[in-house]
Amino acid sequence: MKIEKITRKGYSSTLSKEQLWDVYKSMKTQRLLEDRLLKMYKGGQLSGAVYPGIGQEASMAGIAAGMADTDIFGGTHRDLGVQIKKGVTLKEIALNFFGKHDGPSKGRDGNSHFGVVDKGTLMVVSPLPDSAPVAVGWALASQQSGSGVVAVANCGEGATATGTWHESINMAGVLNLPVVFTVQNNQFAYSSPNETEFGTPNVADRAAGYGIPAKIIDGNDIYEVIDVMHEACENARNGNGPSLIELVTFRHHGHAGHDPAEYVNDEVREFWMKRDPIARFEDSLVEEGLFTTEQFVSLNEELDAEIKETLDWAKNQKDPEPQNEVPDMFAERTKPAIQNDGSSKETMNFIEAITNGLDELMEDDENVFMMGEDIGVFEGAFKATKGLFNKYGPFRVIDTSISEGGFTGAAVGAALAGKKPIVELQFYDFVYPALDQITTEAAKYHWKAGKAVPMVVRGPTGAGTRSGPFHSISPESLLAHHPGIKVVAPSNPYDAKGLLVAAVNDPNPVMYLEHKKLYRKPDIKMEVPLGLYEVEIGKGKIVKEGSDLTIVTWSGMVSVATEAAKQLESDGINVEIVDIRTIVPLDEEIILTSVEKTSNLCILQEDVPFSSVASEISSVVAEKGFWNLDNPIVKVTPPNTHIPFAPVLEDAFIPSVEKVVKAVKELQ
Amino acid sequence: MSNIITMPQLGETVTEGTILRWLVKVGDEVKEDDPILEISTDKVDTEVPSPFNGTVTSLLVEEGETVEVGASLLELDGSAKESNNDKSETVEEVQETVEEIVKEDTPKADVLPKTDNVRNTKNLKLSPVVRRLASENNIDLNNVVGTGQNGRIKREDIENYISLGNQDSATSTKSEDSIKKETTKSADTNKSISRLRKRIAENMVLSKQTSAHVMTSVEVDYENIETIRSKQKAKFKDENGFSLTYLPFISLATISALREFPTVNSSFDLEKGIHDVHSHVNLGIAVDLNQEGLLVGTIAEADSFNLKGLARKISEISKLLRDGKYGLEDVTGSTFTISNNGSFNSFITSPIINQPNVAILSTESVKKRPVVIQSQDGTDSIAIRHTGVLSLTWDHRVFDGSIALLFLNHIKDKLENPDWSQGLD
Repeated sequence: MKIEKITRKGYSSTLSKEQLWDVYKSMKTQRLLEDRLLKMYKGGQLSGAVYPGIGQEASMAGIAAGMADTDIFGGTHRDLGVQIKKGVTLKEIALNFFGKHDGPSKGRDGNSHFGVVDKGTLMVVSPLPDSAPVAVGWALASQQSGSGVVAVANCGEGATATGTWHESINMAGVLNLPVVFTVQNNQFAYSSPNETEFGTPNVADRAAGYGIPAKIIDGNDIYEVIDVMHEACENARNGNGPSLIELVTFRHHGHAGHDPAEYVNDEVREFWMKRDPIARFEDSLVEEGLFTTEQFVSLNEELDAEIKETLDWAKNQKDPEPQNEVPDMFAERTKPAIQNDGSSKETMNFIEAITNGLDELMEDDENVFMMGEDIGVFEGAFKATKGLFNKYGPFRVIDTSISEGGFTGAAVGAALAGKKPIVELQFYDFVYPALDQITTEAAKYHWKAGKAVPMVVRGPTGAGTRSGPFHSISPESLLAHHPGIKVVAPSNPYDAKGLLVAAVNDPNPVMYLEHKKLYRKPDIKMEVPLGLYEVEIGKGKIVKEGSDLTIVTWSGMVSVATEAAKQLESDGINVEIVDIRTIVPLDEEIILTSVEKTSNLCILQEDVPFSSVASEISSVVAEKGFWNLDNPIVKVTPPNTHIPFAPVLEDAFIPSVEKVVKAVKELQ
Repeated sequence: MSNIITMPQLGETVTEGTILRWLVKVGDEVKEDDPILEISTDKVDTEVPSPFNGTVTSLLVEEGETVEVGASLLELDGSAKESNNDKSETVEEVQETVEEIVKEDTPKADVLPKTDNVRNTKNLKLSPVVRRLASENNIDLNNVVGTGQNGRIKREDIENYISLGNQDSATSTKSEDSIKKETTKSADTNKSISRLRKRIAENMVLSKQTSAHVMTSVEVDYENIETIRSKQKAKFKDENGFSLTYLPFISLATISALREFPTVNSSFDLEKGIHDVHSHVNLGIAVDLNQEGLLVGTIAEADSFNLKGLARKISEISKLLRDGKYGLEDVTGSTFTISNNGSFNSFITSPIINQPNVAILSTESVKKRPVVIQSQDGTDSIAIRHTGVLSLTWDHRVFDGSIALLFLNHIKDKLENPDWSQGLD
């Protein structure tokens, strides 16, 4: 079989003999390792999965070789070649494949689903291309700080059909971010050929739609990949914005170890085998007289032995310990609590307290910045960012495209890069498109990649403004169900500012819920300290002491509980109100202590009842406070329906004072 | 076909009853109208007649148990084996199992409230906290009065019970400490609260929680009545067999006032928004049961009697109640109540309204007192007169002080300026 020749040109022609040997070695390591893993998998020696990228070595090594050492790579499970060239060791890879304690994902994810952030590779997750918005966020941080770091967002051609990819590349284009989008078009998305994945002849044709340049290159020509990658990275580094590179290549094996790839016909296979990237590279290196075939054979033997030895070693390393699972869920806060003597105060309503908090946080720390729709010149749909664009400018109060998934994922990347992003959702109903990034990336980073993600997602929640089913949800139960994120829901201006400051200073993703009915509610105006202060996340508060019954509630329902308590007082029922303030982590102690005192519990929430926070609180009290109960636990919630528009329907949906009073009176 | 006999509702406000005594046993033949058991409610103790002919196949509640209205009491012509034997076996089995668990697994006893002290209270809904407190403090829940709905024992009930120093000796697992504690308070006696006392307690508290009580009183000169009474006393006793007291006079004057001010002779239901002004006076007379309790006897349509008739009715109802031979109609349906505290030498009393009445009159002791009187020529002099106080507790939700005083003064006028002799002829 005649090999299709390649020759050095451009940047690749400047590479030294040693640099070329490094590139060759990484390609060879990838091939031998994946070949070995595939054999072990097929021979029953390896559990989980193997996703060999054999055949794509030039694309992977070339992408990495075109990047600077400090650049960041966000890729997929089929990017071991990039990780190897970026400096990830055989030991790290082997430990991850065996799910060991000291592996990059500590046994929490297997095979090639890992990243080593300190070596410039982002956490690999299964939903693709979910690391793309994260890479965009890192680029955003780079743009803000002028660090010169370029982020590479890589995926296969199949993943370019997703909204996530579209949002990422569109955002990068709009904001002119230092990102290089690479697409290794290896001809098949699992089993699906190009023509079932996109309508344009090439992936790169789409770049026009984002207003960025693109190139289609031979992904099996190591020299062309290095050259074009280097050029794209340097362009991005120099402020010329993102670009798209389509690397046309071919994977020799199926999608994964179990897949015989019978969907590839002989003609196609033969075409590509003539273009095997390693054979072409070797041929060219020999032709240039740089290396001999004997050296290749000798390296082959060396690597083969090292790989076998490393895999044998990894097999016997320490297994992870189940008892670490819960403690590792959240990053521990090291920043000391803020001191504020509270001497200087101002009367504020709920939204003024939030704006004041945002302003002081941004003033205090230049790493704090905001992203969201219409939050800049327009100052937000509810004016929460009033005055901030004028004060901090377009690089810290960033107007984004309508891309909740994109900018929420970008917050993850920016947080990893050392920023403290605050994302505003125009309505919390729009969290749904962002949920993938919140749960797949933000919630899992510390647990799976050992990296804290300090970010806040804030926005208006709740019904009562005649805004219908898509501007009214109370998302606390939806969010609270996902491990790895904190959820806070203040009910008054003091708590609003204090919890916002605590959320920004927390090293974990915090969902910050603002009930829109509270924003300008006149009767909850109160004195709020000027200067930063915190309300501790995870601590509830007794709003009103009482002896006969405990109402546990939060957010917009606290004022309903307060009014109900007044009415019940005249019936001789002395109510204690617990405002939990934080949904996750839940202050179980304040609830159980109150129930111990009153023996009666009513849980009041605006969120729908099934599988909700109220259910959880009820369960906690039934489990841990059972012997203190004198009546069944009562939940006052809306019906299990969507939030309707018609005033008569919406009013019937939201729990009212009358419903609370009635429910409490029905207790025996 | 089997017939189930259920707890009857003996009066509108009755929700439960206690089985005092079974008059039949399994296997007995009963005929329609044969008395089958004695029950007790807060209104009355009575025999329940059988509504059917048949053979008793099962007694479904034990003597002493309190069950809700409508609960099954007795089965006639059922399949005797399954309903009778099986039931008692199951109960015993369950009790044995529980005891075994407690014995075998003693550490758990701290966590799992023992069931010994709740065994006889199976018809009560016992909440977790009540079970725990009962267990921790060795309380026999049969001794605790429930103030919740349907007499349910609430946390505060058992806490009150404990705070009064109660600890029952129901269990045999007392520590030495707890025995010592009991010894130190051996001067006190613990006894369970009687059913009647419990009902009185509940009714009193209910009334205090329902009505806005205000007490108003007037002073009455009984001299004229005393004159008539002393003249007629001996003759009256001979003819009627009972003494002529002040009470019939006051009752008659009160009935006259009730006709003048019908609002005072009414029922008031704020929740339902109904004010029911009664067309007749059903006069309630509070009767002391020799210091063992209090019942209100009812003289239906008391406004149709003259003085003598009323005196007779008062005497009769008092005797009926004290002898325990009254029926439901004798203790229900009053529209206004008089409490004769004067017979125990009171000066002034503030009685609790007998629900659903809106007022209650207390008659205080009549004594000879010095009184300033004005003669026809306008000169003042001090005279010795029979006087006494009449106190009215009335519900300020229903009417105001003006009506209360006009009402009281109407009675006072009637008593001071009477032509009483007619009624005694």
